[in-house]
Formats: sequence, structure tokens, C-alpha cells
Amino acid sequence: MNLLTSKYRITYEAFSKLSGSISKAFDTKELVSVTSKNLKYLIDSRLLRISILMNDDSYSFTFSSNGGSNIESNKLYDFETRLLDEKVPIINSDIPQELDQYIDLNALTNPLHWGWLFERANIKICVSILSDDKKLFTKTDINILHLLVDSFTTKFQQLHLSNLLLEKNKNLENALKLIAKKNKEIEKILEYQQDIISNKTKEVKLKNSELLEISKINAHDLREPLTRILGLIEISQFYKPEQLNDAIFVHLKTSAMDLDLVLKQVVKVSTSSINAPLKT
Amino acid sequence: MEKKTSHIKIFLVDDQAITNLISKKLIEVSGLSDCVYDFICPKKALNAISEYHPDLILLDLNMPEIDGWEFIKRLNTITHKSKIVIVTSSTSIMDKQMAKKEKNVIDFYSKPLNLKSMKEIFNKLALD
Repeated sequence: MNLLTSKYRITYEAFSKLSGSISKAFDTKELVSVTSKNLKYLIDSRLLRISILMNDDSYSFTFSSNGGSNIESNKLYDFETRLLDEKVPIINSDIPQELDQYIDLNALTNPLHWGWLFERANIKICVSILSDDKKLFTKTDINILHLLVDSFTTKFQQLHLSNLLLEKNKNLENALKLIAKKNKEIEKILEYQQDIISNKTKEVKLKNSELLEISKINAHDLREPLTRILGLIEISQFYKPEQLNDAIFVHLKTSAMDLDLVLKQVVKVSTSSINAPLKT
Repeated sequence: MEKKTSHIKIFLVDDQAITNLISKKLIEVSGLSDCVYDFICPKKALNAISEYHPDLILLDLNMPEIDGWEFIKRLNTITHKSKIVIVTSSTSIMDKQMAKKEKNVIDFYSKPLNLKSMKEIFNKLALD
């Protein structure tokens, strides 16, 4: 087994381990952490930067050989913008100054800056590497870099979509809460209206029963003395004039007084009932 | 067999004595019956049914304590042969419709009665 084969075997074993850890990561922070820890077993470089562009947003992850890592949103460097526009891979010794914040560029021996644009379905990935003589990146490492970037990006996409879904679910939950709250308000309004209708119905029923009572008084009580008067007049023809006083007139007087009494009552009840306003 | 009206037993049930007096006079002058009993208390009239077995009851509806409908209800609980004519001061259609449902009620009149209506009642009773 030559040295190259051994290197590949070790590298792929390391990648297998990293891939397993990546798949178990439950958030972006853990994803970055496990990648940062295992990176040195896969690729020799001073810096690795992965910028993922999705739906008009960009997410950049920078890993340095000293174990440090950094996450940024919507902060693409000039060389990355050029990569996106020109799609031409970079390999030169002109090191972008922006990388100075992650590593002391003066401490590097023969530094070399590499850059690629990987295009996948719906996303674009700018990958850049800074290497030097001590941390020597070679073209033979590009295959493993592809595997690493794909594994990292796929997991990031999955976590990102999960977050979006959670956020949407939260929004949905809030919307449902709002709907439930509004429903309660509507129920209260309906209950209030039901109360009003119920009270109004009671009032109308009461009014109807009062009117029925008046009608009953009219039908029975009012006509009763009147029918007596009419009946007495009817039978008066069967009495002699001298009998009329005792047989008819005395009863006529009683009946007329009764009629007067009922009339007064009817007028009183009718007036008070009709004038009484419906309670609100 | 046609009933002889002059021997017909009649109960007048009305809480107003003057109304009973008018009915009694109309029956008297028409010669339709000489056997008339008047009651201003419906309860007393009910108690007298078993003793006198009236052929006809002229019944008022609007009475205190026992109204005309209650009178009919109680009458139906005892054995009797009486036909009823409701004579009321009410002009209510509802009362008239209720009266039609009672099997012993043969007619319904609004007060006041006169000679003509009294004769009609007796004719109807004779045919019944």
C-alpha cells in the first residue's frame, strides 16, 4: 500500500466519521462545531470558507486551521461576488485582505488562494481555501472538498428549512390563537345579541298578553253589562207600564253602572299599556 | 220521539241574575217551558243535575270560580242527558271553535237572546 492510498483511506474514514456527526447535528451551531473539529483530518489548509446562496440570501461559514470558526449572513466578499458573476475558479497568490481578520497573513509562507463556484439545484456555493507551504492544499484534495461541501450544505439546507417550517408553524399557531380569540369575541357579541333578542321577545310577548287581556276584557266584561241592557229592553215590552220600574229600570240602572265601571277600567288599562314604551 | 217543549226542564247558569231573569222571561212569554231553574252559582247547578235531570242548560262562559268550560268538563264526569247551549257575551271566534268540539253543546249564541233566538234553540233541541 503506497502513501497516497493510505492517505485516501484515512481521509475517507475521517470523512465517514464527519458525515455521521453532521447528519446528527440538530442545529447550525453544532453543524459548524463538528465540521470545525474534523476538518483538519480531511483537508490541509489555513482557511476554508463556504458561502451558500439560497433565495436571495447568503450564509457564510469560515473555518480556520487553529480551530476557529465564524458564521455570517449576507456578507459576501469581492472575490466571491466575482466568482458568482464570472464562474471562473481562482488560484493565485494574491490573498484577499478580507481574510486578514481570520488569520495573520504575514505569518504564511507562499500563501495560495483557491476559489470555486459549485452550482446545485436552487443554490450556489462559493468555496474558497487559503493554503501555504505548511498547510498545503493540492488538486488531489478537490474531490474530498466536494464531498465535504455537499455534505455540509445538504445538512445546512435541511436545518434551514426546518427552522423556516418551525417559524411558519409558530406563525400559524399565532394565527390560530388570534382566530380563537376573535371567535370568542364574536361569540360574546352573538351572546349579547341573543340576550337582546330574548329580552325583546319577552317584552313583545308581555305586550301581546296585555293586548290579549284587553281584547278579553272587550269580549267578555265590556259586552256583558251591555247585553243585559239590550236584553232588558227586549223583555220590557212584556211588562205593563206600572211594572217597568221594579222589573226593568232598577236592573237597567245596575247594568248601566256596571257598564260604566268596565268602560273606565278598559280605558285605563288600554291607555297605560299602549303608552308604555318597550324596555330596552 | 219529539219532546214536548212545555215540559222541558231548563237550567239557566249565569253568574248575572239579571241575565237569568231576561232568559226566564223570554221562555215564559214564548210558552216554551214552565219548568225553568236558574243558578248564579255553577257549582250549585252541577249538584242539582242528578236531582232534576235537565233537558237543556243555557250556559254562560265567563263566570268566576267555575267558568263555562270547567262546568262542561265536570258535567262530563257524571251521567246526564242534558244538552247545552252556550250563551255568552263573548264574540270570540276561539270560544265558538272550542264549543264545536264539545259533543253535548248543540249551539252557541252571543248575548242578548231574544224571542226569535230562544225559539230557534227550542226547535233545535226538539230536532236533536
